[in-house]
Amino acid sequence: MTASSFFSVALFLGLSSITSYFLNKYIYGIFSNNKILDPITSRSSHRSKATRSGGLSVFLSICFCFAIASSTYSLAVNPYALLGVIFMALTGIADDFFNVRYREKFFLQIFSGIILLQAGYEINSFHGIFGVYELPEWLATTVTLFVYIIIVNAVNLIDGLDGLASLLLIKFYVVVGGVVMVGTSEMALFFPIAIGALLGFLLHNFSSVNKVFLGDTGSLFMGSVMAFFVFYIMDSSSQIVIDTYISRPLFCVLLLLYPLTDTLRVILLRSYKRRSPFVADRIHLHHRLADKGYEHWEASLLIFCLSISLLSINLFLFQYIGLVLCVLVSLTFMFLSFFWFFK
Amino acid sequence: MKKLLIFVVFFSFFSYSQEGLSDYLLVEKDSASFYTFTKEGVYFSSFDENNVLDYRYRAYSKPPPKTFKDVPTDTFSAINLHGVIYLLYPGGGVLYQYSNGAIERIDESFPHRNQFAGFFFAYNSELYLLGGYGYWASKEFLTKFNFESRSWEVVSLSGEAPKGGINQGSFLKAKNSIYVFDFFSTQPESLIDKKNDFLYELNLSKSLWVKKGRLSAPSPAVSIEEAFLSVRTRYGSSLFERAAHTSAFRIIDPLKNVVKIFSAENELSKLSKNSIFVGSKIVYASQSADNKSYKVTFADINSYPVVDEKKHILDNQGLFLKYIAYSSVFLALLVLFLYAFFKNRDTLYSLSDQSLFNEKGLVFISIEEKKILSLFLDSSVVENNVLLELFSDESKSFDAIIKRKNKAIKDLNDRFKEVFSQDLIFKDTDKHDSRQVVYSLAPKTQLISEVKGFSSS
Repeated sequence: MTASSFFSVALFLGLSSITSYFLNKYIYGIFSNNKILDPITSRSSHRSKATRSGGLSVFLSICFCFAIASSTYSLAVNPYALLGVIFMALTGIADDFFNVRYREKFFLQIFSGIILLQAGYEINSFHGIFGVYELPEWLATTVTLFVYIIIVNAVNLIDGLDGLASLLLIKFYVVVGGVVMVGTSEMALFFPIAIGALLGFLLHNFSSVNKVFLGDTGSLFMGSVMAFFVFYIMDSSSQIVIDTYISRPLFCVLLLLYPLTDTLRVILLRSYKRRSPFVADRIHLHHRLADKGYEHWEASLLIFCLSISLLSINLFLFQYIGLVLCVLVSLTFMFLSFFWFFK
Repeated sequence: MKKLLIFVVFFSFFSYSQEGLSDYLLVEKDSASFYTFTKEGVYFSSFDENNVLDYRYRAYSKPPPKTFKDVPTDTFSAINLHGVIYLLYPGGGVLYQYSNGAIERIDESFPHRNQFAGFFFAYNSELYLLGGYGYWASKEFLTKFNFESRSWEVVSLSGEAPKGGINQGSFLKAKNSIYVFDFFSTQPESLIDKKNDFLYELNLSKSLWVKKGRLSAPSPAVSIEEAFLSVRTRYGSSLFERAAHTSAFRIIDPLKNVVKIFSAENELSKLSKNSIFVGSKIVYASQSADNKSYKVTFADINSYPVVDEKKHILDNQGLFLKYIAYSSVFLALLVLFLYAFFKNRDTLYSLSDQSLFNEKGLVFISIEEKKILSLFLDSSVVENNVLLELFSDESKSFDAIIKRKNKAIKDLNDRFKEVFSQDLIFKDTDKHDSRQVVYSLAPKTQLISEVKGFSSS
């Protein structure tokens, strides 16, 4: 990393953090004054005044810094990708204000996914998993849309504990940032901007009194951005440095491990209990930690550290033990963590 | 001076009077000799210890097949397999063998014209043809010559093959693999061939394609026409490449991920497309001034100066590892900061009409206790007399009021301790006036009033 690129990364990290911090404060005030507060229900973990303005603030902070970066530096993202994630952010805003019904939200997610596909990145190869490489176009499109729906909703589902979604999103952007930044400078500045916006939000999210949540705007917006980068990594035409260290599908699964495993577990448990997998409850793993007496920040930090540890272990071991053993090591690690911390 | 030296050293080409060639094909024999096939016969040429090229000519013992004579000799691809020369018809299909002084057709195939500019090679005593162009599309398939059925068969491959095929590519066989790069692939939507910037490896022992990475030093030939004019030939375990209209040539070693760029000024400008290496000497046929004939010439490339050295494919591992180090520090600092922040942060309790609670538990409170705790909402320290005012009752003595206050605080503390394992309210002396008694909340404790207007569990 050259001195100038290091400077620009630091500059936009700082700018985005400050913008996000003050925007969160400002928009919280607007929401609070207009009594647009998050209702406290039996599933709520908070008992103080809270708004769901975090997502909007993060979205606006990113837009603001993105505009500066693209006009002063060489930040450029495919317009279809921008359109797709902005569409998802607008869906989130509508959901936060008017409670969009699940089916309608589902169709809007598919629509956004289709827009995102026009950016030219998709899961068109399994990179040797199950011996499968290139996928036929129809299958690539189907798989990509399916994964898109999963990722966007998984981020939405883990947004139930202070700092959890933002910390996992920060982890995602820090790791993917390295992978993408090293290969291409075009999108490099997006990562410090996104991380900065989340850091600015995090301070409000962890606040005891004036609490701010990401809301659907944040989770749908950030989820769609995550999905875009997953497609970018999985697309066989993308040249990324991570190929030397780890299999791309395994890397993506590890990046999204917490939301994915939690979502899968929740869906299985709800189905087993013959309940709709879409009806919200408190059976998430992070709720389990909170119910066991962990404070929110402790639970979030624990999940954050566990997911970073597992990713690091795989990055280190993959070259020596290969895919199958890495998967076995990961499963063992996950089972041990489950019995140690969550059980 | 340097230029003069280069001029003196590298312009001292050796040539021999195999002049008058109009149509020829050079094929490597060993590290010191080679064949020059023509329509009528073969030249056997070899270098002696003084690097002087000697040759002898031998006419074919019987006339070559008509199909061999119908196409220019230099359009054939040739392989020397265990001393037998195999000559492949342009586009694939028809195969000839040179042995016992004669060229004979050995296949029962046909000129299928699907693999022009494909890579003809031998592996495990078998003959293969990889990629190529034909019928408006580039191909990525591999065909193998079956010596029993005397026909070509498609070899089944797995992995990540180059999408859109391989046309006018650079090929290099090294160990058990074929490295393919700087090629053009047909775009399915437009049927136009577009340059592919990736390096692919075809592992022949596993029949597996692997996409190795993006080229950081691609060929200067950016169009298919320029690629067609480029001279590319194997040089040991590397590939020699000289693009048309350039004053440099490159030695590409995909195994070591190195591209060495050599300055050649105008000296190797007359290299022919089917040049070959014999040891470190590049052998080619130089066109005569009247453009009608060629003479075989050679030049030793060993002493050309290296002007630059690049990575063949992008290798950002160093940068990535540096990034990993920075980001690890960032994440560790974030975790430490959050840990320190929360460890030093006040514990928050919400006060409702009937209870005091947070995420960890709940204590039911009386109206009197609610009044006491309400005093702590704005300040963590409350003077004794302010508390006493809450219990003021003209019908009771002052002592009774004090006892009632103390009992209320003690009861609250006891119940609080049962749930949260600590006292809530402490008795203390005023910092400004040691005669005054004050009550303060436990250290790092903060009370907030419950949000009104929402349904609570």
